[in-house]
Amino acid sequence: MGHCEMLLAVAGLDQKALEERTRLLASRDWGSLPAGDRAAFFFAKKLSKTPWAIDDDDRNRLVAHFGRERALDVIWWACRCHYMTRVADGFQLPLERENVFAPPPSSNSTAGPK
Amino acid sequence: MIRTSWLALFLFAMFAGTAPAAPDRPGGWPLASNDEAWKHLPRALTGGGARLPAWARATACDLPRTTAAMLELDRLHRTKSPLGPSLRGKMRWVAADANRCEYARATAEADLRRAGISEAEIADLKTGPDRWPDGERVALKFARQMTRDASLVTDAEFAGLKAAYGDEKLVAMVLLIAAANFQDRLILGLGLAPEDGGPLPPLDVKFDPEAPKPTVPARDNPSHRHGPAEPTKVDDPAWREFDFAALQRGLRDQKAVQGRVRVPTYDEVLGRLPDGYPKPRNPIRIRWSLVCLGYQPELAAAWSACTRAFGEEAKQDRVFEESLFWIVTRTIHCFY
Repeated sequence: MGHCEMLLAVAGLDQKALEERTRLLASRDWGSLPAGDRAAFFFAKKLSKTPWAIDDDDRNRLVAHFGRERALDVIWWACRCHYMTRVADGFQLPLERENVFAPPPSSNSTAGPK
Repeated sequence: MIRTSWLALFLFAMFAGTAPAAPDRPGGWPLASNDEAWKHLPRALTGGGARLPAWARATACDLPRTTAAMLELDRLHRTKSPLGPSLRGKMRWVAADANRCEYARATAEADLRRAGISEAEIADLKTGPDRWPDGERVALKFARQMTRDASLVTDAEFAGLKAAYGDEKLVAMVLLIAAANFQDRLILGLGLAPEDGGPLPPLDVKFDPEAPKPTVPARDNPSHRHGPAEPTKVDDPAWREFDFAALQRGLRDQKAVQGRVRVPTYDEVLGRLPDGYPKPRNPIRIRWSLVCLGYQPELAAAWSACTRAFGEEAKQDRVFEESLFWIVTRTIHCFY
């Protein structure tokens, strides 16, 4: 599991659901996803590769699907991913073998700092 | 015609809510006035009411504590990073240039001038690597590669920087570039133009940690909204490069890498946590958290404050947000 999958597991997906989810995301057919999710994912892809090309139309679509406040959340989160990935790619640390975001056994605490 | 209709819908959606943000220029995200933004931010002990950067005016109403944390992150990287004013300003400019973010380029350039960097040296920076000073060229090239495609930075490049600067400064570099790639995308994603009247200096404000948490506006339920039709196929040749099995192999390989920096122990990290950092209820096991907090506790804690505040204010659906994270990692070949 990578950190994304670990976090999806913490979000509540069991192993089967997690694999189905990542297979769907990795596929070229996102037809079964809600239109809003697709809008957010396409936005995130464009923001990743050509952030300078994001335009009013891209923002308009997010706002139409999510409303202004939630659209801002989506944009902020997509930007946040580029902090995390630069740290991950920079240090090239070995992935942990257990889910380090899940509370340890006999604990009810939440995940550690991100 | 279709585009015009969507513009009308967008403008309606923007201003139909209760937040006071209002446009002060065509295009881009609506900005609150400075006074209105300060009304939403947490109480400041010092520095309240000062002129806020456009990105803070764009986010203050809907993400007030997140915005306060971002202002602190911005100030720390621009004033406290151990890289010193010349190198950190230049690395920030190089990242902004690679992202084509005019706002951040102008801000970094102004920071360099405030630090006394000569016009000739700034001109050399803008000319490109051939004119970059020998003593800084490797670090500046690292900033550019980390921004353009961090997955292509080599172990040898990293080792060279480590030998020249040591672990602590190297971690500060990575965190600076990470913060730059976050901030540039926020500015570009929101379509924010450079500041009227020129770039702003870092904001010297201290928020009251005991202040009541500002309320945040309720979010719409996306399932109750009906946006435009979206493509159902990922029409992107790069998406075909890795199928599910290849991605799983990438993750397996990532478990076997050696890592480029020593991971401090949890006890080492505990001894360096900044004042006010919430003591973890369980030992931190996430390696990169140990690295960031262990070598650059203040910079790392400032970022953690942003993500913690965002999580509490936005309360996004976790599966949705981690799926979006998955999409980003896949798009830029970050097997993590």
